[in-house]
Amino acid sequence: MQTLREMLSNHPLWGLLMIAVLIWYTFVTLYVAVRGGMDVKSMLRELDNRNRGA
Amino acid sequence: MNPALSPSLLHSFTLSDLLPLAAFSLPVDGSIVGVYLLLTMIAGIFVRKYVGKVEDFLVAGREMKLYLGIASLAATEFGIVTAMYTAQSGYTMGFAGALPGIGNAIVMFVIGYSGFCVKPLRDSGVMTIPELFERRFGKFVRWLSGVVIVLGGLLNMGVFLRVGGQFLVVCTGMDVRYLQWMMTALLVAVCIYTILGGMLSVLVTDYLQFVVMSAGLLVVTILVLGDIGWNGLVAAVETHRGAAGFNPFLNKDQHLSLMAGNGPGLPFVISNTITSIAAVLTWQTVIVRVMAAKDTKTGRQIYTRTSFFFICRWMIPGLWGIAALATVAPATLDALARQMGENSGTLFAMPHYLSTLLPMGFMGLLIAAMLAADMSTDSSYMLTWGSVIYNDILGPFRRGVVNERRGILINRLIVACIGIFLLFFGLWYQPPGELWTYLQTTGTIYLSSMGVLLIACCYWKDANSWGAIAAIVVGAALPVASLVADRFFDNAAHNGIGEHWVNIGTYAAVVAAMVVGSLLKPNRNGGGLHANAA
Repeated sequence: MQTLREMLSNHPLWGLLMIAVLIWYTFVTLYVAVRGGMDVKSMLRELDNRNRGA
Repeated sequence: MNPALSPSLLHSFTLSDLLPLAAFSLPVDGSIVGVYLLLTMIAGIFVRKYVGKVEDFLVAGREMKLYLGIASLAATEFGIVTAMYTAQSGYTMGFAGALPGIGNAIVMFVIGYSGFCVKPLRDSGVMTIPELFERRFGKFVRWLSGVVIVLGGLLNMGVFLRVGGQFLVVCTGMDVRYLQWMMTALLVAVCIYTILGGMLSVLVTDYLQFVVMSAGLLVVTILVLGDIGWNGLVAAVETHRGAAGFNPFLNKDQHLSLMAGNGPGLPFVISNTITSIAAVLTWQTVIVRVMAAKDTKTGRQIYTRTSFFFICRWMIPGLWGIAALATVAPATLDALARQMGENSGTLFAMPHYLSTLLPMGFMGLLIAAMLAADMSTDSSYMLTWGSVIYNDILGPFRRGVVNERRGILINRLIVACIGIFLLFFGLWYQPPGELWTYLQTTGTIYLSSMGVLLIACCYWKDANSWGAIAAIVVGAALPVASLVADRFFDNAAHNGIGEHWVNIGTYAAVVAAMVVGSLLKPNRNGGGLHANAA
């Protein structure tokens, strides 16, 4: 919390950007970990179907 | 390392003396790294059975969906080399060093949102940018574009292996004698799954690597913030870099000036903005995600939704670099530079700092994250430059239709040859000056002309083959001349003109060449993207 307060008061432009980076990146990592895995499965299934069809 | 040691004393120190606190434990950290490597290899090799056609090998059968695209683009565009040069920017320029990332993010979002160039490119159904150029400017321009793309791309990528190895040595305290073996083993592992599975292996491993890499980056950043504290980081930048450490428009003397050819300042901002536009439009490893996307809409969404990652890509290692600025004595960096045979030690500030910060276990996570970052970058770069060699450099010489199996075999051989080139180039070439400058200069060899050609191809009806050829020749000649001058004449271009003005001047000259060349050609036959080659 101390670091967070410092980020909002000392050079807040860079502090806010850093906070945004950490929040956004954490969220995207978790979300893409789940949805990306589903995309991998779907991609391999599509290719398998296509290769069998050919 | 005791900061009070005099430079003369440092000559007698070995690397292990300089890295007494590196906390890499073979049983704990080695196991973490080993599990990661094993999983990656299994996944990468497993998907080879889905490769049936050249299109599967080069663009994953165009079946890539949005979130896999985001993971893949993010993993590819972040390697150890990225962490090293962005951290170096943080060390040398403070927070202002993150400007290229901010510019890149804005440019990527705008281009993805508007569809500028990327929409006509994806709609055309081509696999590479030179393939599009053939439709407008003819076969020779396609071939020539392929040559400069591969030249710039491979020179750019040539330093990845060396820098990656240096990070591992400094961070883990590994004996420098094992550096070459470590680099070779890493490259061989990447080559195996890339050769077998092509883009499919790249995408699947990129996904795993994105997760591992992101977890490592986030955890280490929180540890760094906890160690130094925000106020400590800000104080370090204020003390060592002054106001210019927060405002990228100010030069080293804290003034707003167009004369700063190196370091921060207005030319730095202009140069990086231009590079960002060209890179987002034409950097083959970025644009291939648009080509491999399921449709144009997905390709554009990958751009808009990944854009903010480019700020993370500069801010996170940049913060590590600033933490190094707060803690690592310059004498230590000088000694490290001498040990590694480099001119400047600023590149090693971040890994040296992390070697003293991270406890056992976390070190393994960091190394696994960095290996993930590096492997995803190497595999994707090898494949995409390989696709240009197959499609655009060798393509015009092929007679008749090549069957799919033979096509895949040729692509695999090309990737293997790129791997061999990287191994030898990476071992002996030492770029002069700052790493980011070298990457920007080598990238400009093709970014300058390809960016201008793509815009002209899509939106200028009078553009023709003369203009295209002139732009390609000028765009390649100036950065190569700059590299040669720096290499053989004591950094003549770097010190004389300044790195940023070399970059800006190249783009200006390329635009002039494109316009003049196109206007000089008699009986111009323009008329948009689908006109016959002039």
